[in-house]
Amino acid sequence: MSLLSLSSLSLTIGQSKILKDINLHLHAGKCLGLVGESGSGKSMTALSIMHLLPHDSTLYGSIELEGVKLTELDEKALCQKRGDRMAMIFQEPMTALNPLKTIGNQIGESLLLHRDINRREAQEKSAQLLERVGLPPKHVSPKRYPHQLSGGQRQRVVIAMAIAMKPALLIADEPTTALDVTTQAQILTLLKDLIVRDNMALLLISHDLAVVADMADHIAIMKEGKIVEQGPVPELFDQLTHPYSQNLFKASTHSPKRSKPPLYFDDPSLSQTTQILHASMISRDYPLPRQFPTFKKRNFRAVNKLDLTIHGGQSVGLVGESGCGKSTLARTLLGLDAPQEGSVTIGQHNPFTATKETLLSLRKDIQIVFQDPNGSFNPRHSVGRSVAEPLHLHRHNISQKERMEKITQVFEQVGLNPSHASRYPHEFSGGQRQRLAIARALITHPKIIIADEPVSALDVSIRAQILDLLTHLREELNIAYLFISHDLSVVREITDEVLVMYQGEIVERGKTRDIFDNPRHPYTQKLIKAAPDLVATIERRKSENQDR
Amino acid sequence: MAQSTSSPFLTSPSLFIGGLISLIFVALALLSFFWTPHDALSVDILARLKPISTTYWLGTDQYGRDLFSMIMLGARNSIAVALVAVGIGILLGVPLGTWAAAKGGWLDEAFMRTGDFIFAFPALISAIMITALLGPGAINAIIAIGIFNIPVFARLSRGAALGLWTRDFILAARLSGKNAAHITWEHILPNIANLLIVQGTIQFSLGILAEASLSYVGLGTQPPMPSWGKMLFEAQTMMAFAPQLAIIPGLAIILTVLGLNLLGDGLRDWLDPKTTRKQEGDLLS
Repeated sequence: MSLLSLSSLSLTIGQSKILKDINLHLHAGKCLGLVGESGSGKSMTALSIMHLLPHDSTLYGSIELEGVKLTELDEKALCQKRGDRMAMIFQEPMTALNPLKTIGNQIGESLLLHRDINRREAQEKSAQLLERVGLPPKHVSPKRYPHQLSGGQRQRVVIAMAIAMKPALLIADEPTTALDVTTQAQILTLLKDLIVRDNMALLLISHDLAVVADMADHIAIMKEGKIVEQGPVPELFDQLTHPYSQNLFKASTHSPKRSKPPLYFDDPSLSQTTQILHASMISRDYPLPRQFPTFKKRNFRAVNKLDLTIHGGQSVGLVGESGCGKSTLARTLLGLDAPQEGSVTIGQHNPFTATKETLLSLRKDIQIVFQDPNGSFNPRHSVGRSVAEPLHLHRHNISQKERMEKITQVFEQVGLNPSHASRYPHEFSGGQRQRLAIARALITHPKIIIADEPVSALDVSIRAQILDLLTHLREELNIAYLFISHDLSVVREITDEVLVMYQGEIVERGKTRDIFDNPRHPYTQKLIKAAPDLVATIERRKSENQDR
Repeated sequence: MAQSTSSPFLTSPSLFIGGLISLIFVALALLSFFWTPHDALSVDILARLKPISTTYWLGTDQYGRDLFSMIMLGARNSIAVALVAVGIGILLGVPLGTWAAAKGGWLDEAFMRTGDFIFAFPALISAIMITALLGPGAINAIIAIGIFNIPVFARLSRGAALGLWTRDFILAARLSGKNAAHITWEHILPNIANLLIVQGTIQFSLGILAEASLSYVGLGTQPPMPSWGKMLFEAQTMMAFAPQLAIIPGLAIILTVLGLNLLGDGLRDWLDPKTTRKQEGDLLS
């Protein structure tokens, strides 16, 4: 008999139907993966199981956990189940922890609540739990506060809290989405270990098919509140029948089609063309607060003696984990934050010493696309106005008619209807907004675009479209890219050359193929090993199946 | 659905009531320029201390002046003083605050520490000090109240602007070659305007209170011009046998301040992007 079973579960909130006829079964010691794009109802399914729903919602159908119908329990009985028999892990570990309590106390608290033990026993137990999730008290004191831990460590604390009562069911809602790839790999290993050794059932919710394919024994694919397809791993991947799941699979392994050959740094033709972006030995420091009692000046070096050259038409990737100095580097290369040492050259000029007129013409050559499509537009300006903003670089040498023509042209280039230019940002979807951001970058006909995680905030299918668009634009307009990302699969598909950045320094650089096939630096090796790869994972799962 | 499409003044009671009360007082003040039931300045000993009647809507005071007419003129006075004082606060405070946010560094420190310094003085006591130095009068009361509004708006706009300066669309504007003043005008101000409007209504009500207090101690509006604070002061000696003389201007002050505070609260809810977004969500579903 299955541990958890949802049968013909439907959910309405207010007037809108959120979930429609969900049927799921999960056995102890197994992992069920729930995959779908944003708004597909994955998280609402999890919250329905926990009965943590908004007030105006109604559940139909039944949810059974260990033979008990949760749908028939009252709030008091549910409270005893929550945390004790079923527990949940959220995406953002910082908000899931109380910032004012030590991690030891936070774990102890749930023990005190559900078990008849005293404070000292709770402390001992929480130390054991921290040890269990890979935070041994020897190294990481339970007396620490959440802000003193890294993102991965915080997520471990959240997991420790969730498993404190040895729940039968653990629900993990995008547990690794906010984490770096190497940390993600560690957390996933920990979760796997919990399933096997503690015989826990895991409901893993993720937008990342590769992560789920790695973890789950059974996958359900959701779309618009419905399960469109479900089946065991890895067999399911051979038998995808629903067009949506086929699309999802295709988008996850999508590689933009390129007609032009790659352009490498050792290409002889490059020595004739001028470089469009050059940085030599740049360092960028940030001051740290002075500390009692010496009050010495202290600095944090975000970028350390870094060299970089990009020629016209090249596509260069910059890979690294959060905090490695990628975004600082981008701001310095854009000519916004001056480096403490070294020099930046855009075209022929140094943006930090150039005259005002030169600077205006320089800025036309270099533009940026940001990660978050929500924050990159002023909510109170029409998108046409925002997209045309870089035309300010022309000052008044541009007529209203030319301005309109240019807006129309870039809207068409990125595949949007120019008549929508008078609309406001909130009227567009995330993918459309990212197209708008690209349109804004294109409007001055730049020679290089710095793309800072341009697809990280997007759904898989939208991501594939944006990558296609970027590739297409590059070939058509001969733009160079500096493509900053933590996502190796994206960098692999779209760049010719890759730089690996670690703690402010470039530790490895070379042709993308070479680096991925044969990484030299230990950090690069670690990074590539940790990156989830859907095709390779499915192959591995299949061979595991045959061995059994 | 029908509710969220109708005017916000009908869906939010605080916006409706606050707006209505404020509107009535503004209308009374404006009307007083053209017409009052009686001459508020003429003393008529024969008609002293008349009760509420159809001739004297709110009765008369110990000098026979019509109370309703005095309230109307007092409203004009209070509103003028508070409005100009808030205007001074916004016109000087917002540029200083946004400038500090844009430049940062020592300039920011200097402005904000000066603001802290001004905040360290009890506003009303210092206003009394200023008017005592400059001499009593409506103009000096305005200056005294205005000075204390500057750091309020400077602080508010700096805080909000600092948050905006880290946003990506500001970075895009910088890349478009726009300088800090241009960005502040085009991107920062429209996005902090709602905060300023809300704070403005609240400071406005505080300004009315401050004007009443200054007039009460004789440092605000000078005779013969009536003022709510002065009316309270003059009613003090008559409290025992004509309490309505104190109650009526007191009520006027309370109602105006209450109305403006409600209006400010209502505006905050209405202009807050989060609640607006919720309404949009309702529209979609």
